[in-house]
Amino acid sequence: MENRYILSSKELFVRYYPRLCHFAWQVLRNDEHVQDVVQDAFLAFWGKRDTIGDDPAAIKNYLYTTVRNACFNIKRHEKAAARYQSLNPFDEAEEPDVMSELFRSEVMGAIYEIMKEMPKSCLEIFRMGYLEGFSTNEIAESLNISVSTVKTQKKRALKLIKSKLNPEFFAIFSVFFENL
Amino acid sequence: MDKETYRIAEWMGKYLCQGLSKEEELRFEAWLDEKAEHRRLLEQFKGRSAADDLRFLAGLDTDTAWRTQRFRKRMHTVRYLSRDIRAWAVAAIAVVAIAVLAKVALQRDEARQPIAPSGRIVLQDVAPGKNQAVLVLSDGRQVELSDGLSHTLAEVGGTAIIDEGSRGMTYRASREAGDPTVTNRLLVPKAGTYQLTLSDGTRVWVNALSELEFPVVFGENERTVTLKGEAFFEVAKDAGRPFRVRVGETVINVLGTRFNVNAYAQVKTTLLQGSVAISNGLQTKVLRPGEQAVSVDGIKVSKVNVNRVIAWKEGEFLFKSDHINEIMNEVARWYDISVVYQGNQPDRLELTGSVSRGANLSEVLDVLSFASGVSFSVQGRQVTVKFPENE
Repeated sequence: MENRYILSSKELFVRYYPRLCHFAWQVLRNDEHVQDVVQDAFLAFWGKRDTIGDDPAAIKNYLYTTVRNACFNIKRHEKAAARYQSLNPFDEAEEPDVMSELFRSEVMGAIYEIMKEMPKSCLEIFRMGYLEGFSTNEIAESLNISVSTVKTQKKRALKLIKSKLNPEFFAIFSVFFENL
Repeated sequence: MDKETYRIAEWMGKYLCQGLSKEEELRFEAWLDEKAEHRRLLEQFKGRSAADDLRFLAGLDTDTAWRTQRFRKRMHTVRYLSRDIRAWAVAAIAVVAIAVLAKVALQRDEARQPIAPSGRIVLQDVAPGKNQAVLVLSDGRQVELSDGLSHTLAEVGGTAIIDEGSRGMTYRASREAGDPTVTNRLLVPKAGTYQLTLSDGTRVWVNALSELEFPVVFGENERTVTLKGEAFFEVAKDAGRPFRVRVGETVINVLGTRFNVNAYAQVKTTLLQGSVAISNGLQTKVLRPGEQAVSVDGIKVSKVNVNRVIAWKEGEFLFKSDHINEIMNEVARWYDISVVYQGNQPDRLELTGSVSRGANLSEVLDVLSFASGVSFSVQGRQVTVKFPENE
């Protein structure tokens, strides 16, 4: 009770919008309906906010479930259309478990939040090193800075992530970036 | 997707860094053996790169999405209005893209007044407030602060003050503790707001017509600031040095938390997270999240709508059954206008609605007159509120 964390509507939106989009993107496997699905989920959420309460797990649960259902509806429509066109037999292997997608979105959303807070110089190097896959030497060359500066900034980024990310998430994060 | 899901996410994380307790390990193993699907889930976390994921996230524009959401949220509200109001609401949205819900209870007339478009006469519009303030340094020098400016100022104790333009400013201390009698004062005028980060990492949003006095570097034993007007605090945790806000006779004692203090009239302290203790020298009350303490004669605690209280920090006016005079006071502080009332003021005239603080004055008045039946006229920086005649 003491640690309850009440977020304003905007804070809630800013925190959960990116990871819910990421989740929809994983389930739908394309960009087209992602933002609509998430916008609609939030609209439904405001209407039910009083009954859902302030518990973050309950809020997440409602939002993820609403997004998941909307994504499944879209896929069902797409499948029906495809079947009609190609006369393929309807694939009865219905809704797959989306738990791994949910985990991934939660972890990625948390990392993304930390990235947004990184100082610019640090973020640039983090982006190039860990996202674009450039080597330390390549980064130093293209940014015209010393190799040791790149190493320092990389360490700084990592330290920042380690200090801010839940320990559980950091373990997963380390698995993604084995070259850390 | 029940709450179990989040627990399993945690186990999985711990498993990957060998941090499971014996009991958790047993339960996690049991869960893995339950279905082949579960083991596949764990395997999935080991192989894929995260670059695409983060690139997707970086491509999102959350600010624009929030504006869309806010707009749609208001459109949504309209559906719940009664039918005759709805027709007007749709018309109002077409003009100002804002919907409001009105609750009008006029003196001796409990029946709902017909809501008519107002006879607002605008001779000249007034632009909204912006990020601006004056900083008074320890030696009495004054520095004007506003968006887009950026400079570094040296203060006593080797402290650098970096003005980061629209993000406010940040105090960086060379040492953790310093001389708490070396203070700066931030004066925020009417039509202004400003945010700053203090030397201990505490963030403060200061509203219009307010003043915050604080040590450039906090002392060893406590962190005390003095406030007039309104501010929102996000206090950095430091158990060894309690954080205190002095507002006249009231003292707010804090450990690490988020709360709003509104002291334009009475001192109203609203807690969002953590816990704070309010005392006035005679009495002390402890707040829980979602509660507000009002210091009048004694300290009264009640549950409040937190969104309403911190709307100013989010760049919004948000009214929930608020009295017209309170609303006009808030509007006056943001647009730097004076307000005159004309006609018989009803006993109760409460309004509900919301509008962006980035809107011009005329838009705000449109919303208010639509919601209340009150009409407004604007001349220079004076607004006249005209109450409808009683029939």
